[in-house]
Amino acid sequence: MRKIHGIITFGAVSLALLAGSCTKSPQSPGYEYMPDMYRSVGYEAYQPNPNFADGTTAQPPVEGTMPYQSDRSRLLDFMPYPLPNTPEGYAAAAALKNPVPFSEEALKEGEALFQTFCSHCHGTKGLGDGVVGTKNPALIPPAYNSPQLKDLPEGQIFHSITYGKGMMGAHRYQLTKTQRWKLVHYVQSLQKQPAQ
Amino acid sequence: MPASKQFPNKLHYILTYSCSMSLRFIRALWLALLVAWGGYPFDVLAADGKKLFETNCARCHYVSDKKLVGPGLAGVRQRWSSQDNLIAWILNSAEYLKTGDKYALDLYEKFNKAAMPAFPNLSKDDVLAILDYIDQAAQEAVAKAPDSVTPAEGAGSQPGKSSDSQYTTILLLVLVLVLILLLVYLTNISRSLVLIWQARSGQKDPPAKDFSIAERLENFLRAAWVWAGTPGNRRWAGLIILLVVLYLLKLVWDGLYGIGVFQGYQPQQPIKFSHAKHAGELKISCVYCHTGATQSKHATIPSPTTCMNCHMAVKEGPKYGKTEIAKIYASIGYDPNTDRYIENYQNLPYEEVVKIFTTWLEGSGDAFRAVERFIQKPIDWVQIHKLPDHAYFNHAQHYNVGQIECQTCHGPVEQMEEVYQYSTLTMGWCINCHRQTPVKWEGNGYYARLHDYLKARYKEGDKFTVSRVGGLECGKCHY
Repeated sequence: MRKIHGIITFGAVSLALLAGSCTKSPQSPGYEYMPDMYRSVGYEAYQPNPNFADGTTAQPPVEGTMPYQSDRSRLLDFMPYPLPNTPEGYAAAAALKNPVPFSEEALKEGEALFQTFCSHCHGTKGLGDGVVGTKNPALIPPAYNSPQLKDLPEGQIFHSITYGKGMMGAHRYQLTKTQRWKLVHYVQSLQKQPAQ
Repeated sequence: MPASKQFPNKLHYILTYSCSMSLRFIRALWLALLVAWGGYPFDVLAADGKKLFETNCARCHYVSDKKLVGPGLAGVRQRWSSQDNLIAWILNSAEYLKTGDKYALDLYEKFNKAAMPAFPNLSKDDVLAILDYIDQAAQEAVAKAPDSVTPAEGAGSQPGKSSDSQYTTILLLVLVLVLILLLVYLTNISRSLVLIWQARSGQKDPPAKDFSIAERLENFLRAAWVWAGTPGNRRWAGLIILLVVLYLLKLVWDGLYGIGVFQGYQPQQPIKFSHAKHAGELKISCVYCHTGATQSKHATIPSPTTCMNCHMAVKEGPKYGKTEIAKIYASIGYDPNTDRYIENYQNLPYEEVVKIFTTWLEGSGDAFRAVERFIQKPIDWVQIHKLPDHAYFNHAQHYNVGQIECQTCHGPVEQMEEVYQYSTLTMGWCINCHRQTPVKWEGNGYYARLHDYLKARYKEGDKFTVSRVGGLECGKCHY
């Protein structure tokens, strides 16, 4: 009798386990098929890494170095930016000239970048009416065609994108120099909008 | 031990078993019915206007002034002659129409006589709660006016969808009816079984014995065995066994197919970052933070610097207060008390850093304990989407050249409070998309030369899916 009970209990438990294994917890990814083919032997970009002091694989480039570029046109992106993030640097930036020549294509690319990287605060037309500002009044930027910004020289626009200004953060980590100068072209076109 | 020794005969045994079991079963059935029926009012009891609105009204109405199946409800209170009439209308519109109210009749005509279903489940207080919620939501919508575009706008502007909820109600009613019939039937059977038992055994009550789970199962199997052994039932028994075996096989089959498929994976992240808030409500582009998607294989997790672009100013969230944002500060080394980055943060003595954050979080309570482990440490986000190492995938290729929307693979991230894996990410899924998606030639410099060549070679208007430009070749992804 006990034996039968044992068999029945065993059967019930294994059935329950089988059914239970089908409902997956969202906290667990599930089973892997051959983990040794899933996981790289080398370190992936975001993997912890015991070989570095801070324990991460993704390391910032060594200061004062730049990657080798066979493509000359990309050299601009990696050349150091000489001006420091100080009021003096900002003043000196007024003299900078845009190394990316103006073209319809550059303007179009600048616009696309603007919609991705700037419009949520600055608004789609740079009037300071982005969505973020409507939720956080601290993040309402002045309009590009306002008296304080409409005559801002291109070098200072570039400097502001690079290091940030006021409540705006530095965007040099997200945008290459070429991209930033293309953005400057587009911002300048927005500065010329008639004030409302 | 054969069954016949325990029980004088088969019928005797079946009766014993059935009496005790069917009573239990009926009790359980009643309980299930109560819970199923009561589960609905439980929600209603909460009298939470928003919840009530979402369960009863949201399928046909927006709280804004936009039309869905029915009219937009912003300012509905002001539109009606009196609140009592409005409540009567909501509770039973068909009944109310008979009063001949002109406004109601016009409304009925205007929406193509698509009647609003009656809501016998709602009380007057419930309707008042809903109306309050509508007023409140409409006010909030006005506050964020210019960009409050409702995502599903226009999707359901044709009438006729309202019958959905009616079908569900009818289905539920039918189900309840069936259950009640079953109950009556089983009660009858059990009663007659008890009568037979009493007549046969001369005892008054069926044996009241508490069976263990194993005993119950054994009894059930015995009863099933006896039943299956009866000549007329053999065919049915065979069928049932076949179905059970097939079902078990399907379980195994599905289980095997689930190996390596991580769809639905939703791990807890170190910071309670809401994509619904940032990408949905604030409309920040995906690429703003996941910059790498345009330039590299990885979409890249934003460094805390990117967070700081806004969170220098926004130091407190509406939901979690200071805690979650302070984790960024603790990781990157920003002093929110003085609004400055901390000099030489990585080498600062731990105690000094602790002082900064206990000041900011007002003591070393729960908030500080949550933040503590981020001090001078990188944020350890948990990877959700993971392809095996032997499959190569490149974000930039799909974003720049393929011009695929992020949502195609990642799903409606802008609505996700917590991100989960939306797609299966299996090879079949990749291949299927490559088979169906036409190459986007237009304004796509990458393909200009190839396009001219293919146009010359094949006839005009040929559909060029990714599979026709090498999207199915093994070596494209496995090398």
